Amino acid sequence: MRALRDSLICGRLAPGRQGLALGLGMAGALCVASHAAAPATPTTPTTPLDQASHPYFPLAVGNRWAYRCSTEGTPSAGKVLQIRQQLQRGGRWYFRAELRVGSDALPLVQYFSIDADGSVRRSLAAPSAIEAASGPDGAKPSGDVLLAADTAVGSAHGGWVSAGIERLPLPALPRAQALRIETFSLDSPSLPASQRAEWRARYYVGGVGPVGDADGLGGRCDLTAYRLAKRAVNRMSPR
Amino acid sequence: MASILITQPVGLNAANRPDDVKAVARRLAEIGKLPADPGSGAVDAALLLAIGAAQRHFMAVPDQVINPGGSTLGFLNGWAEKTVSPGVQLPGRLREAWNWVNPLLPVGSYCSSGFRSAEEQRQILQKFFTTTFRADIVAKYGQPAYAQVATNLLANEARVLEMVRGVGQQIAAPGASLHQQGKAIDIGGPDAIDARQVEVVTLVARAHADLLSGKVLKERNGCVHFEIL
Repeated sequence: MRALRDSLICGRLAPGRQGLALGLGMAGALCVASHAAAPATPTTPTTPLDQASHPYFPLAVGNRWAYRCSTEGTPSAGKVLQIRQQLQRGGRWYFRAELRVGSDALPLVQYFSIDADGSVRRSLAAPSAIEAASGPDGAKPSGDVLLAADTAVGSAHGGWVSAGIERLPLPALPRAQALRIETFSLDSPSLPASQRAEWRARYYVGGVGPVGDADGLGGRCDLTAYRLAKRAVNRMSPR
Repeated sequence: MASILITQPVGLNAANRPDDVKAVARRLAEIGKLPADPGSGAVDAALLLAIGAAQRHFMAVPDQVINPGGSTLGFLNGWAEKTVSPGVQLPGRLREAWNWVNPLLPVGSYCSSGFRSAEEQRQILQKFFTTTFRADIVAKYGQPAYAQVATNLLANEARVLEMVRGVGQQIAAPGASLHQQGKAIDIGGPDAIDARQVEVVTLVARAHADLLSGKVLKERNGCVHFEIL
């Protein structure tokens, strides 16, 4: 039901949801409930949809990334990230994604959006809640920067930092050259073991998206398969 | 320490040119395998024992011979004690394993992790739950469920673990990691030497099959992880 609620733009539905709503009596009630927070006329996003993407994180409904995971070499539950829906709220495009871990039926729902400068933001709040907090013009960015437009070594990504490109053999991409975004550098031998354990990293491949992650405790997830919707457009070239 | 060159084999039943023997003896004294450099150029029992002691790091049965261009000479020339990062604990056999591997590792290597107590792992897990992934957990499971589990993290540890894993974070249960059992070491260093680190640890594991398990992993965190029995 959350998916349906998020797809409602008070009085109309995001593409692909109309048929579903016709058969559901609750749709009207949900829409009424969200009227209080939403503007009468949603602001049209300033960024064309076909530009609402990032060279290292293609955003389009249908994009799907599957990972196998392990801890210290011991297999653990894999996970799947899939973009389910696109929405426009407060002058921004949002891409509703679900992260499913193992056989857990309950997904972690998150929303990706693109700043005017091309940065990708990630929010756990639905766009309607974001808009209620930031105002109808959507001028206030919501969520944390997941991936900045500038991916050069040392660039900041919402408190994380780019370590640049490295070779990263993956089941889905044996010769991948991946961008590593990490919480901090592990290069110093003087880094205390306790701090080392808290290191985390995310990996992205240009034109593919998030291909894995890792942590200082020996955990890792590697991309095993992915599917990109044809509509995903990357106007910028990966650095 | 400058690299040494030998022109003929040195050691048991070898050519043992005096200049070659002197060079080898000097190096063995420098790395502590000989009490002192005899400087005589002669091969004696002490020198053979010292060669064997160096080889024991990577050979199950030392042959006590050093060949020009051979692996023993290569290791002697690269022999250097590597550092251990602050806070790393290497108790018992973990220290023994590190001591075998340590001097053979390429320059830039260091020990980045060893024994980690279950309590340390529990603190990390709880920090993930209460801070790092709190928003994700609340978003997925709801505030009431989060609050209910948060009332007693220790008693609800299985649920804490499930929720942290449920938002996509891999983490071993406190006590389950080989590090917490005192059976794993991580070696840090530049990515460029990872492959060599794996080679060295694999070689040492073959030579010490009663101590190292043979499991060697290159982890995403830049470390080479190996385990003892």
